[in-house]
Amino acid sequence: MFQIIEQWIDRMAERRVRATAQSTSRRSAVAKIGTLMVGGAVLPMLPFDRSGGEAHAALPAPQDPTKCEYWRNCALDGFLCTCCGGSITSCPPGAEASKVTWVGTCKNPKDGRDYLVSYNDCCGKVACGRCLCNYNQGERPAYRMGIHNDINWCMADKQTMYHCTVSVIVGVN
Amino acid sequence: MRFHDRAIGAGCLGAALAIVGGISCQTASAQLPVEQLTNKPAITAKNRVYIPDIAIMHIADGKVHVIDGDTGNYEGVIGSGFTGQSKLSKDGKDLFIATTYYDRGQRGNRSDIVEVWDAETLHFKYEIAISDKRAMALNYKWLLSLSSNGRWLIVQNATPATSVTVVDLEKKAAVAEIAMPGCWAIYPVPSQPNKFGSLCGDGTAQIVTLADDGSAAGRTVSDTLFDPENDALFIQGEATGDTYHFVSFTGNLVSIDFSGDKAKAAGKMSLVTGDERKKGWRPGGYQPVALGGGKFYVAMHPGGGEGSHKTPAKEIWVYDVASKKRVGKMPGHGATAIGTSSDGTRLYAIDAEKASLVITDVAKKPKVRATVQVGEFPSQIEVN
Repeated sequence: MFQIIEQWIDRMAERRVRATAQSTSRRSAVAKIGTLMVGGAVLPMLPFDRSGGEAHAALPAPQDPTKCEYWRNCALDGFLCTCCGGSITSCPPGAEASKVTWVGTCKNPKDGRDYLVSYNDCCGKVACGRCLCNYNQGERPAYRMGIHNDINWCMADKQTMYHCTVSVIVGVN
Repeated sequence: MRFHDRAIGAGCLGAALAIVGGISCQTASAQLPVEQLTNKPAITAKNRVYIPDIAIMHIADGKVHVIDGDTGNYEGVIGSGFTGQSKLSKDGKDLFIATTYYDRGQRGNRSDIVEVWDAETLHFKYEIAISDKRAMALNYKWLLSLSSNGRWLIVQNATPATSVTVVDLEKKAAVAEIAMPGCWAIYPVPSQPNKFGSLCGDGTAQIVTLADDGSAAGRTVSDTLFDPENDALFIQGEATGDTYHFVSFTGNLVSIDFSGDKAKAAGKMSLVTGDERKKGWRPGGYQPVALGGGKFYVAMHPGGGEGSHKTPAKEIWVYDVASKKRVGKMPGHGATAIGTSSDGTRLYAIDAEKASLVITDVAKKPKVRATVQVGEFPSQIEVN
C-alpha cells in the first residue's frame, strides 16, 4: 500500500516538477521542488515564464518540441499538442485544427533565423491538460487580435472546445 | 453499544497512562446532540471578493469563488461554464455571468447566455440569451461591463472580428450588436450611462454613444493616445470619475479621459526611475493595477523585457493618487491580479503560482491578514 502511495506521490511530483521545469529556469525549478517537498502538500503549480521573456537562447532544451522552452513556443499559451497525442504540426486524433490563429515571431537558435509561427488551437475535445505553457514574446492585448493569446482560437469553429495548440512555421524572415 | 463502551474505556485508560493533563474521560464520553441539517441561507461577509477561475485543465467547467475579504474564509462558489466572464451589479446583490454551454458538456449545440445569480445567496435567478459571437477569453476585467445606471450590460464579442452585444437589463434581452473593429474592452463612462469607451489597435480610443434601443447612436475616434507596438497598454485600467488610468508594458501610467465628445490624453508619467527602467522593472499580470483609499497599486517585476508582461509580481508599488508620488513598495506575493476592498482598507493579490488570495490590511502599516488557496487558475478580482 505504502509503495503504491509512494509511486502515486512520485508520479504527482514528477508531473508537477516537469510542469514547473518547463515554465521556469532550471535553477528556479530546483527551488520549487524544495518548496513542494517542504510544504508536503501538492499545490497547483501554474506555468509562468519567470525569465522576463529573454530565456530562450539560454534554456537547455530549445529543440525538444515536448518542452515549453522549445523555440517555436515563444508566444504560445496553452497545452502543447506534442504532449497530447499530436505533433508540432498535427492535432491529436479526434480534434480539429482551428480555422483562425494567432502568430508569433520566434528565433530558431540553430540557424539564427526568425520564423513566423502560426499557433493553431486544436478543437472539439476536452482540454488536454498536459504541458501547459505560457510564453508571450511579441504578444499584445486583443486590440491587436492576431497576436493575442488569451482567447480561445477555436472561436470560429463549429465545435469550439479548446484541446491543445500546435506551432506551425508559415514564413521566414 | 458494547463496542462503543469498550472503545471509550480504552480511550480513558490510554489517557490515564499517558498522563494527559486536563483531558477528562467524562468529557470525552459525553454524547453528541442530534443535529438538524440546514441550507445556509446567504453570505454575511461585509467585504466579499469574487474570483473568476477559468479552470483551464477542464475548461468547460469554470467557477467564480467567493471569499470573505476580511478573514479569507471561503464562502461559496458559482459555476461559470466555458470561459465565463463575470460582473457584479452596482449594489453588489447580483452577479452577471456571460458564458457558453454545450448541451453535451464539451460538444453538441452551443448556447450563449448571461446568467444572473444572487450574489449573496448564490442562487440562480434568471438568464438572457445572447449572441454566440461572445468572446471566449481568459477572465479579464472590462470584457463584461455595466453602465453606471445599471441598465446596459455590454458583452465583448470576438469571431475574431470584434463587436459588443448590448443587453438591456430592464427588458432582460439582448437588444443590439455594435461593431468595434480593431478595438477591445468596454469602459463605461460613469457620468454618462449611455456611453462607453474602448482601446484600439492603432493606438486610439473610441467612445460609442448608445441610443435608447441599445444601438450605436454615435461614435468618435481619438487622436493617437498610446503606442501598441512599443509601449502597449494593459487593458485593465481603473477610473477616477470618467478618467481611466492604464499602465503600459514598459512602466508608464497613461490616463485617458472619456468624459468629452472624444477620448483624450489626461496625463502620462513614468512609474519607474531611470535606474529602475534599466533594471527592467515593469508592470505585469492580468489585472496589474488597483485603486482604492487614495492609493494606486501596480504589480511589478524586475528583469522584464519583451514578452514579460504576464510575469507575476515581485513587488507591489504604491502611489499616492493626489501627489502622484510613489509612497511605498510591498511584497509582490507572486501576484498576477490585484484589487482593493471598496473602502480601500484591504489590498487583495492573487498569487498565481500558489493559486491563492493574499489579503493585506493597508489601512495603516501594511500587514498580511490572511492567505487562502482558491481554485486552479484565478486571474481576476472583483469586490462588492
